[in-house]
Amino acid sequence: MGIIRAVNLIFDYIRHDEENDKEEINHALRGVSLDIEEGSFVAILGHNGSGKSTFAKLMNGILLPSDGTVYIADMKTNDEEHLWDVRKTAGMVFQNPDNQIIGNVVEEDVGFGPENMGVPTEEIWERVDKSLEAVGMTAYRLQSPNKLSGGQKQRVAIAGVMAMKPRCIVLDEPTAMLDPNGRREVIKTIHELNQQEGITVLLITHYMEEVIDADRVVVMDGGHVVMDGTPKEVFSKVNELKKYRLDVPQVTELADELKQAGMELPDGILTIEELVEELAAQLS
Amino acid sequence: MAIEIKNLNHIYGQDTIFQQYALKNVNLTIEDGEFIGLIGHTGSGKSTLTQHLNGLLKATDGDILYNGESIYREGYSMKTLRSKVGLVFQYPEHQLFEVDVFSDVCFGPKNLGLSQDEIETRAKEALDLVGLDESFYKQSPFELSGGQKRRVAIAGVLAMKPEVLILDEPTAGLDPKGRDDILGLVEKLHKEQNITIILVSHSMEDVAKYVSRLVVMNQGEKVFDGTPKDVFRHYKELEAMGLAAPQITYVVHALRARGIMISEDVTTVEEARDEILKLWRK
Repeated sequence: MGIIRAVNLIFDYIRHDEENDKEEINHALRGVSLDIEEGSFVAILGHNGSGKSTFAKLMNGILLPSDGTVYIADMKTNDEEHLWDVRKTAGMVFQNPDNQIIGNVVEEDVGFGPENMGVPTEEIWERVDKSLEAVGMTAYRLQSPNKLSGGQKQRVAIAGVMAMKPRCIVLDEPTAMLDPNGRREVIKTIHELNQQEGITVLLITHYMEEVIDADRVVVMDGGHVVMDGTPKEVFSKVNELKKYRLDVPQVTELADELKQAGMELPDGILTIEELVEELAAQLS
Repeated sequence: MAIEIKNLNHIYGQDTIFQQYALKNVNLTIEDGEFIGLIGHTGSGKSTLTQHLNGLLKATDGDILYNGESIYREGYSMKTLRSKVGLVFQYPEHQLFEVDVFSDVCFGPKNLGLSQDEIETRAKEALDLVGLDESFYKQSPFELSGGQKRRVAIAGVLAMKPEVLILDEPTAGLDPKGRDDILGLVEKLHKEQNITIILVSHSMEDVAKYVSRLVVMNQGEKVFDGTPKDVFRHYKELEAMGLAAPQITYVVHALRARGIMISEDVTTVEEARDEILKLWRK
């Protein structure tokens, strides 16, 4: 059984009018079940309004399901006595780096989480050291977060979550507001945490390039899980992805178009190298 | 000759130890009706440059001519300039503030001192251009989707009837569909309204499809200026600046390195498909 288990999740946003009657109901999730294995790197894709961010917020009890259950390491998120443990187990990183940083100095910001958990001072510093090292920000530990680039801020935010020693990290579009350099930095950091520290990663995004190295890709649309498989499996269905208003990497799209024109290419080409190999073999 | 930028410098914190060039000797001429992509990574000076074009920032030295007239000349009306050169900031939806969509779009023309009739006609035209029909007029701008909010914000600038429209990262934070909608809208404005467009972006893949000219900024300087295919030939230098050329460019160069002579001018998926099929059928 996985570290994250979502069972028949339903979530409705309900808007009330002045008399507190229900005015409008928005069904954000309509029965989502997912089982995520400890140590894996799972990406969730979907366009705006597909329900993916709602799903993320349900993972550590920021939102509680309207129906269905989320288990984090076998603890229910709607069990109030477990809420702290749930949040210690599943850390969250959000889209806007500026909304997540509260310290005046980088190292204080990273230490904020463990301090609130009542970790002894000495251990806090150990954790801060280790977390900053893991995200490659040790050189900036005494600087003001204000002077950092977006990608660096986001890495500090990730270090802050790391310092709480979670078993999994949920990242809700962590690169949406970053430039290409910042995006690369953050994605590389997340992969390292996954591979070296064995932390389970749930990455929510709409950038396709970021998910090709994931173990598993889940596509959401209209509050449902509509595709679920390895990146190769998912990206071999170019037309289906387009139907869900998602992009595919340019090379995947090119390979797909060439196939439709009659060339024989394997399904789900994801990288420049793969495509060049195949084309070189056929054209020379 | 819409805009001429001559030897423009902008220095932050001049004569202090923090002195830093945000723009360094930038020269650029933008013709009427052009569609330009202005590319650079964060801190390259691209946003600083655009804020000079409607006088929000004043250059440390150098000159900017709008239709042949220096905007730094004494007595030059910045107000007129700002109604001619419309600037859509990053995350423009953060600037929406009115109770409903229609009033928000009316705000700009109202400040130009136009008659109520003219204000409303302009607001309707602008909302029509961005594809928001009457059912949106009385809605609160805060309850729309991200892409819709952004269109309202763009309509607010269009209602000023600008001759030049500058958009600073208009697709940031949007999903692929929202991005295509906004870029399609910008293309339509360019074609149908003949508005000069400057599109600021750090994504080459997004702009390559749309623009006829790319200007690349790095560390406050203009480094490349040409058609997309000319600029992408420098993909190695672009990479060193923290910018990536579209994936297609890499495919083309890797194939050429293997002796498959596909044209270097290919920059989009469609062009690559046609070129490869041509070679394959031979």
